[in-house]
Amino acid sequence: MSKNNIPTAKQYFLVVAMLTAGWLAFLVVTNLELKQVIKETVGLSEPLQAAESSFYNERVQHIFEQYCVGCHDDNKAKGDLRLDSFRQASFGGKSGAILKGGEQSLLLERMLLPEDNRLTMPPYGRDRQTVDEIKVLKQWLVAGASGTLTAQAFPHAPQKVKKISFSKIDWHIIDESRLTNASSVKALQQKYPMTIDYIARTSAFLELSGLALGHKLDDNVLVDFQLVSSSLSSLDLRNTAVSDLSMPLVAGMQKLTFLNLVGTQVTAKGLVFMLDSPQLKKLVVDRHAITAEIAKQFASTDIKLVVVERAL
Amino acid sequence: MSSVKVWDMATRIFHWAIVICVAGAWVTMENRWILAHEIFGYTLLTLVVFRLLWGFLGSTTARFSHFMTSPNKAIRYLRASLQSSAEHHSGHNPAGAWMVIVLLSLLLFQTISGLYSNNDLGFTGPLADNVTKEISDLFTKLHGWSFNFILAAVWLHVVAVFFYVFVKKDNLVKAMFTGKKPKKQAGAYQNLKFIHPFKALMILLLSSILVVWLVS
Repeated sequence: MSKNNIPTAKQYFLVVAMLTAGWLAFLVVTNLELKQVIKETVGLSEPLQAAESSFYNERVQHIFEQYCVGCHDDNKAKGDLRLDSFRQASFGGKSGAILKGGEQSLLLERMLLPEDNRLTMPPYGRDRQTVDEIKVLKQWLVAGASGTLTAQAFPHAPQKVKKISFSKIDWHIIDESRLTNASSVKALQQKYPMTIDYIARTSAFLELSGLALGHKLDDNVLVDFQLVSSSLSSLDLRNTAVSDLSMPLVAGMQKLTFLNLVGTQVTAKGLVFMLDSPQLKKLVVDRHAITAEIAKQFASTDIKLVVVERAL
Repeated sequence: MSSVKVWDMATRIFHWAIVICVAGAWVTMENRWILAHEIFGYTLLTLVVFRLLWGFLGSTTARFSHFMTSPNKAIRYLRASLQSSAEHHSGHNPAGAWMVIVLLSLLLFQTISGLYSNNDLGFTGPLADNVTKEISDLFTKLHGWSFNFILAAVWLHVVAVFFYVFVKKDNLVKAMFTGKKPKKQAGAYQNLKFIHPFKALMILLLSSILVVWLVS
């Protein structure tokens, strides 16, 4: 210090440098990520990451990805918190460590707040964790928020819910696939109500059912459906008047996978035509239509023959 | 008279209002009081716009033309300051002038980026709808990062000011409150002109109108 207690420039900037260094040191010490990087670099710590087979990777990370990572990843770390990996979750955020304290952890505390609380996570209006997902998180946190423990260490964890997702339906493609027979199908539906329809709303394949027509559906009527035979995959001709005469037509249906001939006049003679049906998987017939010979022949094909003892 | 007026009231009020607003913006963001943060943001933007206009229309020491110099001159001034051989200035010294420019630029960027930001919790800045979500998110990120530069600039400013206070015995803090400096530290004060506060009020009103127009 110079005379009259006035600090010199050197002394002043020395104090400033010390204060600045102290502030920077404080920033480093309170920055858990930086500390961990330094430790790993000098070999004082193993890399902080969850084991491949860990319960964290199997169950916990999915919960974070579904509910948290939208706002807490490397691109957008709200509250300086990232939950896109075990490593980052371990560092916590502006509010401090979130995984410590078991049931009293900050993570659980925020997730259990009422939905309209301003601190609740996820925030109001977002999808929230299910009861089972909260249980999974609670058990994991109570076990120390480990990155190494496997599912075996959590025998009471709720079963993992299988998520079923549906691929987006392209209606344009479906309409296009139905285009060839669309007008014929419509005409047949008008002529024979409740007889022919698509097997599913996303399919171009058709199913024909004789339940509405009953005995009115005979060999002559079946010919009407020849227009759409390339798309017919299911024929339920139970208790109709169809006979062996229709079998060549039926055998020509290249997409046919199911055929029910119970209660019809089809015999073993007609069934022979079905042996070479390219796509047929299942054939249901009356006992009286089957001979030992035809049964043996069907046994050598991929067609499952279902024999009904007594037609209703 | 042993002291002379060097700072007009408008500049002084502006300075301390900025201090309050920056602190307020920081505290409100830390506590997630987003609506209050927004108000501090608008106020800051209005103040910055006012200062930019006042830099052309205000009192002598407030005008950019009075204190702006080349970077080389600022560096020479800093060297001379450290050797206690720098001359006195009535308003901003050459180094301080550049600090003003840096701080105003940072604050302008901070407030403008805030207008395009969002917090993913239902709040968006008034101009956020004019850009895509990705751009708004980018502004939000930059808005967060640039505050660190503001903090660093404020630290530098405080270090420099207290250098004057403690080492050069030139109490800049008192001068920014009272508007006066001792004659021997006031440089060439004889030709300073001070604009009536009413004009400052009009310019403040104009700034407010401009900001309201911008955000509505």
